[in-house]
Amino acid sequence: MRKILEEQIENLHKDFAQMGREVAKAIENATEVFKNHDEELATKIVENDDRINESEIYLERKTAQVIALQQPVASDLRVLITILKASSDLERIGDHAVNVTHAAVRIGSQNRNEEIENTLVAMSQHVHKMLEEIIKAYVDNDETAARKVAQTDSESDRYLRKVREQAIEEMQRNSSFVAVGSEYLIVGTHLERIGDYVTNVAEWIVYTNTGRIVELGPNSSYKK
Amino acid sequence: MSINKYDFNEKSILKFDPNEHEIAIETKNLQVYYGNNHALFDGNLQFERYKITSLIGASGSGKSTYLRSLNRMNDNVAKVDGQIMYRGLDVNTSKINVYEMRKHIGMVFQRPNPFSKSIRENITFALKEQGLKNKQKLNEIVEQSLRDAAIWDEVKDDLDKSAWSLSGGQQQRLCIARTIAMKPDILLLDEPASALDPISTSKIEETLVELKKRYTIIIVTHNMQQASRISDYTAFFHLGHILEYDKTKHIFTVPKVTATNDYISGNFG
Repeated sequence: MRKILEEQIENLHKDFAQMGREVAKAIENATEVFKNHDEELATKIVENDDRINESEIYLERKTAQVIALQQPVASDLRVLITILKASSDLERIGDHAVNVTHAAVRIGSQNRNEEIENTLVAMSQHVHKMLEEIIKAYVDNDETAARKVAQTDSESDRYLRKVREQAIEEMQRNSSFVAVGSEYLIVGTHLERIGDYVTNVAEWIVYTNTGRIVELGPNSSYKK
Repeated sequence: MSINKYDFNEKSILKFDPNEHEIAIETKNLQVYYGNNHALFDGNLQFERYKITSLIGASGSGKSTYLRSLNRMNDNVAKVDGQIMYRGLDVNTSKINVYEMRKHIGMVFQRPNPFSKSIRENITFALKEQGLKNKQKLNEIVEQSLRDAAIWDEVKDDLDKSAWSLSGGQQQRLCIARTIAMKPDILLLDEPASALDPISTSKIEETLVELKKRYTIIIVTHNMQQASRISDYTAFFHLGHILEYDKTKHIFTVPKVTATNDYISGNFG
């Protein structure tokens, strides 16, 4: 009985980590599209997102089955709840990567601003790194690492503020830049949301280890 | 993995604040010996009134030994040291009238054991022995007890049929009715549903949840889901030691003791 449960949880761990890597790839590719306007890659990101969505559905279905059939409790149950909840977070990160891609395509080649784009690329690389690190923390079941990753979300917020300042300043100076500037703001907001979802995953890793549902991240009013 | 790997000093035992929780019964430093075999060590548990408490643990962990000590079923079987405090009295002393005490602390066993008598007489037998002769009063108690044990509707037209004509699940509910006819304070149940099918089990569980409005219930069970479904508190026994006692919702989500986590997860032995 126990062996079956352990095998099933192990498989779910692998599937979850794989989904995490695919989502991380989506962010990486979205950054690439943003930098180079590679429309072929943009199409690929959108197509891959269907696979990410399917992964989430698969993980939800399998987790529900394991809960119903094996009736896990205590630490096993916490692991499964984490997979169930954190897979939704990963799926949302995938959606934000797609939205960044769409915005990048809309920006086109007119009125681009290198300085703001550099900030956005750095921001994108930052949240990508956050995601990679949180997947590693998940695989290692490392609560301390997860908490550290959540702390770095303040960096995403700083990037977003910088993008806002730069874009608004440029929009005020040059009204023909408003359309592109708005897209930059949209991209920044999507990337910032990715940081928030990575923080959610960190919170679930803490839950797996302690049973406590906590609020991490720089904006939390009741950090634990 | 060896079942002996756990540290008996790694314990977490819930203590109630008497200002917030009414204690129905409490054991202090309870020790049980079968001859030279020390079967239960340091039983220190408090049971809250009008709650269901599950005692869980592997076979030989001491949970049934502990339960049976509570209403002195271990007399002449084992040596029981320590205090069992009930309404300010230590019932584990020779001064106590055990039969009188068992009217307050009743027991239902694993296998249904109705008397070889009619359904009605199963309820009235002990009451008549105590001198209750008023037929109307007896009928009232029969109906109320059977209703409380959620079996009245099934047997009300067959009260004079043999109790043995009932199914196992019905027999067990009759035994619960027989116990509560004595108006006990505390109901002890030793794996009351382990010999029953899932439907009968579910009826027993529903009955117990209903009964806790008026009784304090302590139940030994091997069925983890049963413990998690119906009990408010759970105590985990291991090799004669009580290692963890807490709210059931904590035991089954965030147990504090490694051995508890392993046992309830099936990662044991």
